[in-house]
Amino acid sequence: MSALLEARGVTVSYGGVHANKDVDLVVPEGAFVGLIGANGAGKTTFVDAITGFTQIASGAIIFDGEDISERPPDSRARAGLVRTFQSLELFDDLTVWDNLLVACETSKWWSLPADLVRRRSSAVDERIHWALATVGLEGIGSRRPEDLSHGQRKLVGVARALASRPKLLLLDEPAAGLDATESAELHDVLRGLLDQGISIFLIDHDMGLVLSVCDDIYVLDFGQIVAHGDPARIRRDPAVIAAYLGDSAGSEVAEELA
Amino acid sequence: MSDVVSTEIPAEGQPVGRPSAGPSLNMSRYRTPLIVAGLILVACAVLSTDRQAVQSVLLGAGSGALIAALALGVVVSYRGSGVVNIGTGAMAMYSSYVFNTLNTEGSLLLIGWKIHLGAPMAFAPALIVTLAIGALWGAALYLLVFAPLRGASPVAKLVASVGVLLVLQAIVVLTYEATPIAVTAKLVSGSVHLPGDVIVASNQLLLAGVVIIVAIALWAIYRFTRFGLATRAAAEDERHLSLLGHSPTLVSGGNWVFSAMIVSLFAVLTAPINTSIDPSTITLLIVPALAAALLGRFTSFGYAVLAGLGIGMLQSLIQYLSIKPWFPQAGGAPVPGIAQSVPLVIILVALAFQRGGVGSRGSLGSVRLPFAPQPKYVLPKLAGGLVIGIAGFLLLGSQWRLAETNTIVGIAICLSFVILTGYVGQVSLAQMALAGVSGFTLAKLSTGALGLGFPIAPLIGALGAMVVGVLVAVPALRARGVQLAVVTLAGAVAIENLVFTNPVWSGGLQGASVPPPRLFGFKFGPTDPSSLGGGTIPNPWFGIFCVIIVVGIAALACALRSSAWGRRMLAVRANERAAAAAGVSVAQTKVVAFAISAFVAGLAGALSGYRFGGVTPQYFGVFASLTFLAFAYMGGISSVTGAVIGGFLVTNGLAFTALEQWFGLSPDYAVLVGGLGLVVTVITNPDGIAGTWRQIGRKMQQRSQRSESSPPSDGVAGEPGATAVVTAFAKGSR
Repeated sequence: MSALLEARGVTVSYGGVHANKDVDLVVPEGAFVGLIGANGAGKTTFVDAITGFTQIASGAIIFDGEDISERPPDSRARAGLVRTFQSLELFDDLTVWDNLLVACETSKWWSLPADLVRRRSSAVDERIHWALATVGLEGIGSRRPEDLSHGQRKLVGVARALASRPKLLLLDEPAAGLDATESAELHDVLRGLLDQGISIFLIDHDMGLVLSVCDDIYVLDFGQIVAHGDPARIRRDPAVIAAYLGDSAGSEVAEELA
Repeated sequence: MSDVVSTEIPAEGQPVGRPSAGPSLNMSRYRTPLIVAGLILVACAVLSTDRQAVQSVLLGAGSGALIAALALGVVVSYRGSGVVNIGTGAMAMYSSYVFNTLNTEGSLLLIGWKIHLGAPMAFAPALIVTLAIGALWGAALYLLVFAPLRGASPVAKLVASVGVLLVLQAIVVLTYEATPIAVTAKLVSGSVHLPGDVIVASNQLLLAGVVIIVAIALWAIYRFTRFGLATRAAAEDERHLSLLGHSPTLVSGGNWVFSAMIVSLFAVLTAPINTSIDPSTITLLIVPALAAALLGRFTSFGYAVLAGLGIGMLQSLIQYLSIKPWFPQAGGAPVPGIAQSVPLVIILVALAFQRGGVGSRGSLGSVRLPFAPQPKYVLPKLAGGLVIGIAGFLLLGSQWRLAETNTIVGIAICLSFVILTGYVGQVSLAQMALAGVSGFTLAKLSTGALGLGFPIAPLIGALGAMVVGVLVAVPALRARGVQLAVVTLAGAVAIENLVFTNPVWSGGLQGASVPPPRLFGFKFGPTDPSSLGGGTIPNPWFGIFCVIIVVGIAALACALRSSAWGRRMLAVRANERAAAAAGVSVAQTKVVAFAISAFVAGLAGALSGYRFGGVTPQYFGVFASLTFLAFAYMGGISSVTGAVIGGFLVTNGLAFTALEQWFGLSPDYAVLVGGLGLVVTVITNPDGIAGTWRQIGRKMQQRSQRSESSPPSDGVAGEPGATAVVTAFAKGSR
């Protein structure tokens, strides 16, 4: 498996404070990689750095064999590196269908006159049907985000990312704010995506979710990677337990998790 | 082109990438003011050899004090309520009339009525009464307009303040006419001799001193009092303020009263220096005041005052230098408008150095943008519009045809607002300036040596407007929302004074003439004789020509909304971060919207050039831009239907002609109605009249659907409610 995404020594600093420091991380093609860390560990900063929403102070981001460190977010998205947001960031003025359409359609400014008269291709329609079906939301295309439940809106965010047929899907805390049933549904959806050949990079602080779906897990604490390995290893890693529960919490939690 | 945008794309209200470092850490915010102050100092040092130059700089202290006071007013109301109040200058202008009426007539000006009190009032009591009235206005404007908008977006608040400007100006124009009236009051006489034989009138220095004292007092109030603390807390997050037991209404309202009193005080104090007042001069001082306030990031009193004084002095110096032989000449006179362009330059420099946005603050409630529906039944609607428009010109009498022409041109201008403001959410206060670029280009090309005719000259004109529009869009890639509105306002003033009044480029204050259009020998200018219309002007063929062009523009706007570009524009309007994450180039989308919108405004400018047989700086002036914005909003800023309704409402359009013909209402009331309508629309009904119409249509459709009961199918983009009328129309046409 070749590396689809590779972060080399990524450092992000906000006014002298390192939110991410020398983060090295690899997402191989076809893999389901997780990044966990307590609140404030720098997870979302890392996603922002990878996707171009924040500038990196040093290091490099290689995606699909290309150094994309200097490219703006929209260009990274078009290259196939697509993210979702922790907070709901849907286009509230557009229907669910149009939300997904925006992610599917790309065109250059010189094609504007042609775009004004062009009809939508059926390939695009199929892709949107597929994306909605994948997240289990068929039949809501004509509704607007404000008419949906929080869990549904989260899934629309995932569907919008899927609609552009990404090479790598970055999910930033997809389970945040979901209830137990919705979280379980999400779990199934994510597993299903892997079967469709989409590589996934899941960022969450919900250790249970990450441990149950990911093949390979990185642990971030105070902006630095403190552990890396398969779920079984992460479960036992003392650094992980310390990062999550403090140094003294110790072994009983580790036993419980194991 | 997509590389122009920086990698940081903050969402409205939540800057990413750089969490706000404490103000003490962030030195870069002081950089621009320091650079500007340094430049002014260097300029002063160079000019110190020239006694008259120094004198002219000091002569600018008076007008600088008023600019500084307006900047303080802007900062105070912004800190208190998050509103960048474009109407601050109009509030000052209104107070100067209140004072002068008391001082010369002994009458009290209450809204539009004068109440005679007795003998003319002396300076001091008149000033006190004026300040009291100013305070009332401040409180009333906050409670009636801006308190209801507390949860609205910063841009919506700014647009409402444009309505305030229009209303205040319309009241004064309706009461006093637009011509200047003399001010007889005296502040202090005498002059001060400074070293180096420099003589300055004492009142100039006094004013500069007073405005600095006011700034220091404000700083102390905000620093040390409970009220100041509450205001600073409100600027962070109004929710927290109410949790702490303060009333946001009281805090914000108090700041509005402060703001109104400060600008009223200086409007009164500076009026004697200028010896006359008129409805537009002080109103437009908002532009340099905004530049000064922007240098202080809308929060610093010190920089606002220093920059305000500096701008006044610099403008005065430029005025003096313009008599020098080396000053650029145009048509045997100094190039006009350079002093008026100073604010634009300052704003652009400030934006180039400052990072992060103005206008992001925590507030109560959620932001709702005007709904931009997917147009339905486009072809029947456009065909219907074409038929009705042409029928109007064939059947109506001379006066109604004139009104219809104004409406048709107005629709085109409103459509340019729909594309930019409605679709992509960027507010431009310079649409008429863009129209004017096209109009003056048309005049230049079709007269003189070039002699280019229809349709090449108007097309080049519209393309010229497009080029200028894209140039405007470049700062827009950095400046968003409120800042963009400020840039375009300053740009409109600069273009009007620098380009349109330039006798060589344009035609001076009188404007330039535009010969009537000809196509293969067919004469269809508005004054060309024709067998249609009973031989009266305007020639119906010209009207029909306008209808065809504007239906074409409407088709363009509908196609744009339904296209991938339209979806991208709405995505950018809704959420720039999410749009970028979905692969949309925010920069490219904005530039395209600016280009199309400017092209449409340019076509409208060319049409109005033909319609009047000429172009004037006034027609394309900044007040025209603001008034058209008002009508576009009233009609419905985010839909083509709204633009059509807006076109009916414009000054001298069909609606006002009807009101004049049937009810005897003077067309002078158009601006007042526009301003009031704008305020009411922003507060109560952001979708405008078109939105109301749509809702009625939806209700009627639901009623009819209840009997048919057909469930909506999946994958149909757009909202279900077209208007009942059009639904009926479409059913009939099948």
